[in-house]
Amino acid sequence: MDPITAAASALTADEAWTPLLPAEAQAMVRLSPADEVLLYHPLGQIQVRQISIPLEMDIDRIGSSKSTRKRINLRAPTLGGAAAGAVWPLTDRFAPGHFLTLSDHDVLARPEFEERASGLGMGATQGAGFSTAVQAGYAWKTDCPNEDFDGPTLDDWNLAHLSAKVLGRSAKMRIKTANPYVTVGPRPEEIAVAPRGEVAVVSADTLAGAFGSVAMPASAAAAAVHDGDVTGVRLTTLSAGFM
Amino acid sequence: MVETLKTSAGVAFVATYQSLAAVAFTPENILLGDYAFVPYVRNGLSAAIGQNPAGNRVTIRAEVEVADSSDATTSQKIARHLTLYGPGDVIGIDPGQIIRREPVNGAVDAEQGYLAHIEFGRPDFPWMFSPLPATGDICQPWLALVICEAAVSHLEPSQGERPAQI
Repeated sequence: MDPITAAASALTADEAWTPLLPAEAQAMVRLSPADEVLLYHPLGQIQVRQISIPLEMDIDRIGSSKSTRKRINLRAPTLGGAAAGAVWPLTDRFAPGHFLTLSDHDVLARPEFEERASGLGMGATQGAGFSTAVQAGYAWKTDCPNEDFDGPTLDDWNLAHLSAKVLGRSAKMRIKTANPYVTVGPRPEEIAVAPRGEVAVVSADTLAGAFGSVAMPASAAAAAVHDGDVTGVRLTTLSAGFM
Repeated sequence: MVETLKTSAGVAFVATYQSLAAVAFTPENILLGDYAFVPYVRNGLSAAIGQNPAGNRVTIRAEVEVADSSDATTSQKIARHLTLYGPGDVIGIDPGQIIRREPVNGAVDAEQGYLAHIEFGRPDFPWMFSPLPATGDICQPWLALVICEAAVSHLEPSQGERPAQI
């Protein structure tokens, strides 16, 4: 007797396919009474199982017939033409004496029923399915009616930890801290301030700007840093928008 | 090597169905002023919809192979068509699913010019019963918010299996 044929015929039965529904799905909507077609809830998953042949276990016989194959298993579950994104095993209790050639002593020594693989459950995705996320920085500007307000200034940024960097770039400060007779070099580069709500991605080792020193929303920057970690490039983000 | 479900499923394999719940929805990191938006969310069997339906209900083909563990060439396919509930099968929504309405229910002094909207408890609710597949970033929802003038319209209460009619 071929166990593949026996398992396949058991799996084609209506009872072999059972839906698996989250508890909260029952109360979410009121559904019209089902007609003659068997309908499945879109929030559920599907499970398929049979108790004719134990899967992923060496067998010698099926009842009184000799088995033509040693071991069978389920594979390649697909949903809607695509490979299932989540697959989990199901088990049921099988009588080993029904499938194995055992001595009388073994029959007495083993339990009457053993937990063995009987089928699988499948879902389209392991979490929620969606297309690419859009990241957006959310910034706002406060307008005070009837007041003379110049709009955002550098005071808006937290300068406490950046003041040394800002002052250190000024020529006056360099003269103060270094040899005052040394000719002052060319004017250093202007400090670029990223748009509000955005940060710059820089190298964690050298603080050199990555991605052409382009500012981006914090979540996109976090994704870039994560991608860098995966590829072995150590990146970090500069807050307060200095690039 | 003897094939098992675990080796053939690869990364899709999870130990139990219960462990799926842990990855069902990862809350975003709370970072004020920075948000990630997704065009739609789908869970469960509805996430497997890949083709346009013939009617209001979509049918998904589920398939699995029974194979000889030591002979990869010998297998038998078993397929089943699963018909999902469509938008026409829904005759009522649990009010608990609605967590916010703008303007609020029964408001008589709602200002014009603001976008009227409803916020649902489950993020995947607007796309749950849609029989249509997502194409790119677009997935058509199964429900719509209809706004009409109270003076020229009225709501017929639901009768039997039929939903309320405008």
